[in-house]
Amino acid sequence: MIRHVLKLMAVVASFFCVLSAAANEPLMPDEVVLLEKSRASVASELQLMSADLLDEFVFGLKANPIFSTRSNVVLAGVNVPYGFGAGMTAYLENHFAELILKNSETKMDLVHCPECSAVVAHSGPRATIMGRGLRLNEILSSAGIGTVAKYAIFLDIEAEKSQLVLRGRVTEIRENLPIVYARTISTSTTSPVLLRSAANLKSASEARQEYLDILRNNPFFSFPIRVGVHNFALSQNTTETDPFGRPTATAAVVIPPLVWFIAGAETSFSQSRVWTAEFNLGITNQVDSHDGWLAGGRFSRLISGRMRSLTEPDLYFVVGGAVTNLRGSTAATFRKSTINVAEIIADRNGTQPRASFSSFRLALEARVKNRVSLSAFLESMPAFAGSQNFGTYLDAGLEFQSAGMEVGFWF
Amino acid sequence: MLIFYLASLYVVVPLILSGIFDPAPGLFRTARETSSDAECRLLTGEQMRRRLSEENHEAFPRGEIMNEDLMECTGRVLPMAERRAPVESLLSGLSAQIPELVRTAKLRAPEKTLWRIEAFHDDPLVAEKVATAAKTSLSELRDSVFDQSPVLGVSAVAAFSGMKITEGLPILCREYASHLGQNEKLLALFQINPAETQLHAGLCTHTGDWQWLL
Repeated sequence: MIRHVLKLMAVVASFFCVLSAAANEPLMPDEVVLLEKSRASVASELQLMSADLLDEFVFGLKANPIFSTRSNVVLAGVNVPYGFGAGMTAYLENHFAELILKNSETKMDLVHCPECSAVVAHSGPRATIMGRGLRLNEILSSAGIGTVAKYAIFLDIEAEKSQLVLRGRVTEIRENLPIVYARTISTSTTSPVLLRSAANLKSASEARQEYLDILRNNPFFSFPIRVGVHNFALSQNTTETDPFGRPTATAAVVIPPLVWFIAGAETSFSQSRVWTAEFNLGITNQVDSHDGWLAGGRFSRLISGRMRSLTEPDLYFVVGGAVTNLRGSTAATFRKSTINVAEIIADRNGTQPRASFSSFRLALEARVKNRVSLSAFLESMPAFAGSQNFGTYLDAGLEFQSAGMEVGFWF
Repeated sequence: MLIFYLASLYVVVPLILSGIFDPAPGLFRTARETSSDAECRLLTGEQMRRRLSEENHEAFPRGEIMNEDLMECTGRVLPMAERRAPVESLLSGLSAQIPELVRTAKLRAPEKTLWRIEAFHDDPLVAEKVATAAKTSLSELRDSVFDQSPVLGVSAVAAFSGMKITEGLPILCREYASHLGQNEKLLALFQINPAETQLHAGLCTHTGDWQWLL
């Protein structure tokens, strides 16, 4: 028994050995191409995350300015993550400059100072020293950097595992460069980049809420417009028989389908949009046949998840009701009894038949975000239960005489 | 024999099933695939319970068949192979190591110390990043920090570059001392062995005394 277990362990171990040997093979050319693509993707993601950190840093300077009066500041250094080059440095310098220019509340005026970052050598009585302009007291005093700007700002961005960390500090341009302000902020790969507007910087929480609102497209009211076709079940008239005496199913009255244009206002009870409610008004018109209006309301319940999906279509179960008013020859068929000759003559004499009735609806609606929807419904008109003019699509104690589909567009 | 096959089934099937969903290296993922894009940590029992309850994971009414571990993985900003391993490990640990070193240094210095920072590394860019992290960390603790570190003469730097860092730093401290004021201390950060991931620190005073911190 133990021997068998040991054998099994040996098989599993050898499998792992094969896997690890495969992992050490040199890269193939197509793998190199994939690696380059991956690098490009990482670099673009890194740029966005870095810009996001700068936004947050400048938002901090805007909310709590370091200086009481406007001050000239030199952008003395932007260090990008180790391994990335001058292109990214230039991008971040430009982004930072844009942020400062568009957010005067920071009380900073950026000034150009090539002497600050240039590498210079200075020979003094004690020694010959080399370094960047701002780093050397001797250069600071002789080049007059302090007269150009009073402060220098240094930014450093580094990738630390799943975090991107920004370390910013502001120094006073005088002997030894005392640091007057420092801040460390970080963002994680699990946090989506907020892409804030430079001209209207918001806090991270505000920007995130705005971002989510846009994604969910969740205003308090939305305004759907629907186009729907209502079909009516044919009545089953059994008064005729075939040559063998058997009853035949013959439509006694054919009610033309009604095409409705319905506009409404919809609201939801929570951000998740599990429940929504809608009030709507509709019109229908067919020349020489009918015109009419309806007023109705409906409740929808999300059945495809716990909250509305940001990426996938949602499925709602809908319950609703409406009051409909029709005028014209079609309206003559909306009654329990069959239409008679007197009514047809009256219609031809200009007295148009009218019909008013209520209806109740069950529907399934597939909706893609708050953009488009497609629904299929069954509708019951209790006033015409047992009518000779209507058949039924479903009789579940309540007769459903009408069925149809609607396409909706949200605004 | 039947017992053997049943036992094998009991071991192998759960192994395969868990391996399919396991982000760690194993049957279905090589170490390269895993380490290049994810930073994983094993959750403790309490963290695991909290996470599962957040995701509405319902336990079986009679308990789980097996004891399971839960590993939380987040994507790395840069894949592992992007930078040299010693540099990657050093830079990835800055936020964890630097505050610790800074606190240790503060414990060994009087309250109103004026700080200067110097970092030593073969790569000047890495040295600058280490120094930046220390300067920012100390400044955030409301300590007075000078951004400039003393600039030594070319001859002193040339002499130091030929020495082992453990021998050179106490000597270099005497050179630095002449640039330091009475309340000033220089915090030096360095690696003793280029292959190690741990940063070390030492303090240099205006009298030229060198003190090893970590």
